[in-house]
Amino acid sequence: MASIIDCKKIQPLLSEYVDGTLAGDSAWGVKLHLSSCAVCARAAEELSATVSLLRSLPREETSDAFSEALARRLADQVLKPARPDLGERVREWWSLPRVRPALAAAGALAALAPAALFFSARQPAAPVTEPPAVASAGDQQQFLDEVLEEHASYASGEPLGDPTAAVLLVSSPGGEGSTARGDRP
Amino acid sequence: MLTTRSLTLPHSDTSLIARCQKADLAAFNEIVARYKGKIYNYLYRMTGSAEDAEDLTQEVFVRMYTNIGSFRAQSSLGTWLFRIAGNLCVDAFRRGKKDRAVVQSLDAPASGHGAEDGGDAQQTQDVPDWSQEPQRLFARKELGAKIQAALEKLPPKLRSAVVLHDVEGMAYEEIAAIESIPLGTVKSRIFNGRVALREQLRPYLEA
Ligand SMILES: [Zn+2]
Repeated sequence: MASIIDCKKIQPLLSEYVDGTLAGDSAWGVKLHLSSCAVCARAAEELSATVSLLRSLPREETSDAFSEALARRLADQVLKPARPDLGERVREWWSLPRVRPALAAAGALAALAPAALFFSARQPAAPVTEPPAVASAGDQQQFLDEVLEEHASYASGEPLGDPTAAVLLVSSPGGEGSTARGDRP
Repeated sequence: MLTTRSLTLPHSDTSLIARCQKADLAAFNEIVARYKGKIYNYLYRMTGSAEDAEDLTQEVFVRMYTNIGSFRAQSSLGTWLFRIAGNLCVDAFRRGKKDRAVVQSLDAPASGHGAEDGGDAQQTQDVPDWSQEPQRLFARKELGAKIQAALEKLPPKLRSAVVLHDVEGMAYEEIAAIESIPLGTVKSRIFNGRVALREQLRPYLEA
């Protein structure tokens, strides 16, 4: 017959015993004890049943909005502060001493461009300002194009660096109707 | 079978990490797709709240992205992610709102714990009637809620060990790596956690 002292030694091993992870001789010792001790045998059965209950739990899943929310969060928390936005980069570009005078001039002339074109349409004998004005407007457009293009290639080459790209890439497989927060049990 | 080692998908974790370290968003998304289910389920069982679990799961991946540069392959990616998740849980509990377990005694009987449960005399001892088919689904849901409630009464350390082992199916060794604790501590946490749950769930044990 099993003694109380045996039970105290056996019980802490029951958790591993029901897992089947006890080393050979220990497992054998426990098995032997359980065959002669109803109290420990019942304790082992109950532990085993407890484990079964835990394993019966359904697996929970993230909502449909998860990926999009993650992308937005990544963009807000991590990516945005590290990268100046387009407006800032344009202002930075403007503040460079070597380009400012040229562009300021081009910008000023570009403001006159519609007028210049208007005059040029009506008066073939154009004033001297006409060619540079048109050319300047082209320069400014080209500058903006370059900045935008640079931003786009920057973003596609380094998608993690671009919040908008992150949102687009992450949320693309979800499709629409993915804003609802999934039904939960 | 649920361990993080058993993956035979096209890209290994190692190659995904390398790509992710070079700011490859596709690799990042693949890691998220691979692990979000496990991490979310763990966090759901830890917090008992879908909303909190989703919030924390997102934070896990944000942290992963932030720290991917410092990831060294001493541990597996899964281990690392679960460690981040566990730490976030601890922080969340420390901030105060989620953890009712610490104020509740493990020795308390299954009924009559805590003021928020109110009149809960009937909460405990009615065993679901499995024979009546229409009620089976409801009973199953009900049982799931009881198990979750019992989990939430465990101290977080025991809860985490039990969830990782019995819900996520992880080996003792993996849990030791995640929690940075000795193997013996893992085993005793699982044992103590299970014993406490057994007391809480006694009415539902089919012996
Ligand atoms: Zn005994």
